[in-house]
Amino acid sequence: MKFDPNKSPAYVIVFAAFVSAAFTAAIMALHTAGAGAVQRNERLMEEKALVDLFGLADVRALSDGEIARLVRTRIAGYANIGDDPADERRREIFLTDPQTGAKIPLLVAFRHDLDPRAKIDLHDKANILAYALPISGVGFWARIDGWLALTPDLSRTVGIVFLRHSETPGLGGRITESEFRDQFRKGILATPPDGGKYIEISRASAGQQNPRHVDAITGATGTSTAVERFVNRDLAAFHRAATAAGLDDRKDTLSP
Amino acid sequence: MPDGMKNLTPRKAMLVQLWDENPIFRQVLGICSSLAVTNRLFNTLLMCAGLAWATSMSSLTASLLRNWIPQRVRIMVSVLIIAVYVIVVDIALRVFFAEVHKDIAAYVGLIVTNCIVLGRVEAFASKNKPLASLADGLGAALGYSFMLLAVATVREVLGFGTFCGLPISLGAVTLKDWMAAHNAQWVIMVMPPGAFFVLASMVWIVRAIAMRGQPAASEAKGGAA
Repeated sequence: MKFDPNKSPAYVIVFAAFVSAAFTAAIMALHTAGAGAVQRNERLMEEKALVDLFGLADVRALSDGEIARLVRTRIAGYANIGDDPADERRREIFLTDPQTGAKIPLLVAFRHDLDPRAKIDLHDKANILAYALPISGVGFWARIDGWLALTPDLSRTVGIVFLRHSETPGLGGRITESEFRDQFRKGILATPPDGGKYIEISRASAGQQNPRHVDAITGATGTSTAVERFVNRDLAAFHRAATAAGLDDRKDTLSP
Repeated sequence: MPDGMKNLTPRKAMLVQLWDENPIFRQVLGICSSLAVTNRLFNTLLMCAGLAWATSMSSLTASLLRNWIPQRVRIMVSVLIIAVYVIVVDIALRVFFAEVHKDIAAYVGLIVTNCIVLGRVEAFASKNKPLASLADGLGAALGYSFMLLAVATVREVLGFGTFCGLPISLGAVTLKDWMAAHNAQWVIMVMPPGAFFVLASMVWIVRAIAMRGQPAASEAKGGAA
């Protein structure tokens, strides 16, 4: 007699429970098996982004190990690498915004390899390559997270990276592409403005002569506007905090 | 399911999906994803590979289980099967193509709701043998893929001036540089409406080719001259 799976209600329940448990277990096993590789990939992408942010090297020319070594030896304040609690380079660095009391994480890239036992001197401007502040806010679709690097006198940008975003691929998603990010590498003026914006992201023809201008992404006005909004907000807070900490000794003043 | 679709050989099942019942230009299914992922050829390629895996393996699994799945939980089990294979795609992308995963992660998850996948499982795999179901699912995915890859090629070349991220040489300069210098990027090709225009044009062209040589409806019916 042929088996009919529709006759018994108990069979329906048992079958549904069994396939759910079996498939869920299979996915959990696969997820666990891949967790290590996923974590390594995420860390490597973040390390690559930091090396690129500070312009420490061309990441395409380096092995994964060399990238990790650069981050470990040249950048202070990045806690996600190494497991030596006595390593001063891994100690997180915070500035405090005197207006809001908010703590702002700080990354500092140095021109030379750092001694893991020596205290980090945030005022050692001669050896500091750049400071980086976190930037984050709501983009066109969802939250965007990244870092913005500034020269040691905090007057100009050195680079920008976006670590997490959900913008439309090919449109707002192009904030991660070199075409957009290279503009920050060229040194956009980022000193406190006289009433206007720290950085203006608008269409190319709008700011040919403006040292604060960044070309927006064509077709992604929402993302460009959002990035401009939170970068300006975070830069303002950072400058207040840096001034309070005595880091803001820029020579390149408001003039371009 | 039409009677003609029952008990097809694996080869015939695949060929029917590739051309006669092509999901894009015959059934106009799975159009949503064509808007989202076709402005970059490489992203499209990975999306198509993911869909091919999910469609063929879901069809195979649903066919293997078809005699044990109760009718009352048929759809639930089908969606569960599809979701499992889509999560496999997501994990594989995270492990092997982490950079691309950042770009298309949102759309990979949406394969679960792609009408082609559930459509093949429901219309074919639930009533046919495993090998034929596997071939049917693979055929549908390949039929979907060749149309999407064609759309992506047109959009990337006209929108970005590149092919699969590689520069296109025009002798002394690349197409991308030439476009930038002459402000000639076709921006709408990068945007979702560009996919509508390209896809509609492609469907028109492919249907015209498919109908070539077929007698007009009135002739076929023996209508008046």
